[in-house]
Amino acid sequence: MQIHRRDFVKLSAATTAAAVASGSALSARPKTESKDDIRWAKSVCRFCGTGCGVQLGVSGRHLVALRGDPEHPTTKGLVCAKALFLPKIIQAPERLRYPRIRSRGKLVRATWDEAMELTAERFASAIREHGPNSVAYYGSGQALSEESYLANRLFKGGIGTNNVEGNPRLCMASAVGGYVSTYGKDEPMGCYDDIEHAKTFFLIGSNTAECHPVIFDQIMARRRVGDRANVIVVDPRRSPVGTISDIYLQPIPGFDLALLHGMAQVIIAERKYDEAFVKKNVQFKAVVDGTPKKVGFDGYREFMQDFTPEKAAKICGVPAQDIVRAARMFVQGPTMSFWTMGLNQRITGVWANNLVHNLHLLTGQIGKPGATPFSLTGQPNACGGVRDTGSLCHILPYGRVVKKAEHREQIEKLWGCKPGTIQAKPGLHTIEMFRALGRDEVQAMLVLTTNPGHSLPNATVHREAMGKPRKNKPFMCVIDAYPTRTTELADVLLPAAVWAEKAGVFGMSERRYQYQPDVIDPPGESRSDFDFLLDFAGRLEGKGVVPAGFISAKFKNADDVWEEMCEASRDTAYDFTGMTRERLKQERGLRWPTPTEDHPGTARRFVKGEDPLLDSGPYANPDLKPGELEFYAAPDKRATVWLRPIKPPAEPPDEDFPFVLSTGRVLEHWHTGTMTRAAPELRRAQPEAYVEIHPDDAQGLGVNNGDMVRIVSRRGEAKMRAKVIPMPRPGMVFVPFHWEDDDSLINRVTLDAYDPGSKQPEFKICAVRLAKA
Amino acid sequence: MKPIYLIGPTAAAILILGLACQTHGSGEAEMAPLESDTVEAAFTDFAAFAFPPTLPDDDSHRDSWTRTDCLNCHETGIQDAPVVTHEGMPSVLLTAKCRSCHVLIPGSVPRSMIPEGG
Ligand code: SF4
Repeated sequence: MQIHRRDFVKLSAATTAAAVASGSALSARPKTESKDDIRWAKSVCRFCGTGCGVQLGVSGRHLVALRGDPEHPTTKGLVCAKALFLPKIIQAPERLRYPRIRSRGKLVRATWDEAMELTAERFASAIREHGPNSVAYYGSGQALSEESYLANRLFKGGIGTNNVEGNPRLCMASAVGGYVSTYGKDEPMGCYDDIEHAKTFFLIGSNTAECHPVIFDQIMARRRVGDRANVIVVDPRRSPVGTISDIYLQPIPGFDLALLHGMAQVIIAERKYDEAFVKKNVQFKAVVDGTPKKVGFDGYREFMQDFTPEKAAKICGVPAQDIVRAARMFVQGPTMSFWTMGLNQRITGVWANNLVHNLHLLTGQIGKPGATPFSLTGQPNACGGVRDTGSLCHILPYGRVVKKAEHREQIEKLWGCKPGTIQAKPGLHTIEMFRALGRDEVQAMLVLTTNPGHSLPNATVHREAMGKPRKNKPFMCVIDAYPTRTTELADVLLPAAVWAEKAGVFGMSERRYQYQPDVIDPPGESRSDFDFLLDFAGRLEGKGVVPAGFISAKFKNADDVWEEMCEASRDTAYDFTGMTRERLKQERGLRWPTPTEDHPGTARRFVKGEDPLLDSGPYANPDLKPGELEFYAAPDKRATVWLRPIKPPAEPPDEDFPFVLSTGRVLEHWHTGTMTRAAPELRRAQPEAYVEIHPDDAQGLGVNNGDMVRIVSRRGEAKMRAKVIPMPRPGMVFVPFHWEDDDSLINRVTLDAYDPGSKQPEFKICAVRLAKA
Repeated sequence: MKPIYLIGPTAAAILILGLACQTHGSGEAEMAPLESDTVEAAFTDFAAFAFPPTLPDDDSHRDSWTRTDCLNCHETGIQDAPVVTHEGMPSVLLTAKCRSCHVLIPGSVPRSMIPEGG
């Protein structure tokens, strides 16, 4: 049936109107489901870390509709377009259906058994010949928690390598570094409920309107009710968030640390800090000769003399009076800060995170309703799946690190490993892992539910590492549900079940773990990552490179794994031993800590009366009064205000490359776009890449709206249409990174320099030149 | 078929966004036609009422990031804009910006800009 768009629109409008008028089913159209035939199941959106509760409409064997879940405690029925089109996305014809093996340069169809046997054999021979560190796992904040936990267990405890990474390294690692260095443990202490209580929102490096639309909608709602909330926005690009700002600050890319210090300096100079809170809960530290040293409040005040508003203004390019206004508004709490990639994807990402925490700690805007620093996450399960399960090269489950013998011993005991199995040295982090692949030092890699061939910065180099034919070329097994710029590089390609096709847990940004059921069957021969991992582990056991029974004797399904995960969290700052599978199936998620089966979950950590860990267990403090706060996971139980110097970006603009390139997202697409482009409406809404250029710069370049433009860096180039618009700061250009053809693949241009602490790359800043194509 | 976890009464179906977002107007096409494009997939396996109407692609729609931007026209019907009521939609959903759910279709224009007989 071919239908012209005009007919479609007419028919659509007519049937919608008819449905409204009669309140009855849409029966006129063949195969179109009636709403009365639909059975609804609670689930979770599989895109961003907002973690919106959704209801899935299932009819027959199809997922036919999705709607927001009004019973969801935080998102309350709100969703965005990406979720609404998920039924089309998940059932798109593009889906991969069958395993493939590379033969004479081409990916040809194979059976699961052939593909699995080849994969297991290549991993086993690499381990036998070159040792466990010759293999690597690169996972995803889109895998289920049970899947990431199982992969981590297999690689660190079974194979004995810490070469376990995932794409959250590209998006969240600096936020983790910020939380851990400030409070001693990862993850936010506040929650989404705080939006309803906040008086001031501080949005920095976050295009919330497009990247976390439901959070933005909730902030807008808060601006309309009662005591209207204020919004401060900090972003070198005036993104749509700027449309609701009371104060908009546009710093020079990479120099917002001076702005944050400047605000803190005003707060101190005007004595607007919370002296009692600071005295009781905060310590001040600077890194001297590579070692953290306590400096006291006086040392901090002295350090801040270099950041008076006038001095800070000269560094960051924001007028001094605006810095003062922002500081004064910030203290009108309760204040809630949100940030994401604008702070994280920087070589000073951890420091930038620290400085936001500094503002909250100085003003005591923390641990009270509406007062909290909150890092937003871009993926549905970067938090619960990768950060919490310890599925990165330097960490172990639930706040443990590989460097600590005590932590390794605890996990080895739980996993049943021979003592000494888990290496004390962190494995290769993402950029170094792909560099090692390019040097053929990593000999076999498993890429699961992610698209590094598109998403890594300086992509050409890393794409060659993955796919360039050469003698001894490392082996790449890729599991995905859609064709991507990574699947084309695979030696073995396996079709994955996704989202509503498999059951398990997602953990979103506010520590809420949510269960998603499997309500439809995956297409073709697709299998869940979990099934793949069980099969893979069994074969590695059979080949003698993983102890017999290490995985196969313990787990038959994801429920078994969940039980062990709960146990792994016992007596840690994450304790969710009371979060049984049954509870998760019934409830709209639970926020940890949840140490007992009757505990309702924790809205605010570290607060007596809210956080159950202050009542019993290793962190308990019976002397605290309700509402009092204690940073129990931090050294001396005090959070740290860090004195951080200003450091320029790794590649500032210069004569040859005079513009700063920044990348980001649009509302209708998600990350590398392989899913959202599968919905015709989303694809057509944003069909192609473009580069935003400030009108002043466009004039200088002789570029008009719609002209094709080349964007060239020291690493590569891209070509796309110009969008002449006063959104980026003059001297800066912005490109959304969703499109994958060679011309649009902007990561061929970006830089893979990384933060020395978090190892997160500086996607947000590199130097480019522009020319009309 | 995998087991379904049933929730809530079907009465909650009034929440279906596309249904709630229906326009009070002539029922005529709101947009100029695009070049031929197959839309078969949109008809076959999906509940058509589940997908919110798309938006025409012009500056006023593209740059509408707050609800007020949209309601300036769509509450009053000025410039021949279809009046939206979002009947039956819970109030929380009415706090959302329109572009959270309604996506643009590039090349389409508001119906007020379609010439007579066009
Ligand atoms: S993409 Fe994010 S904001 Fe949109 S529905 Fe999904 S979880 Fe919610």
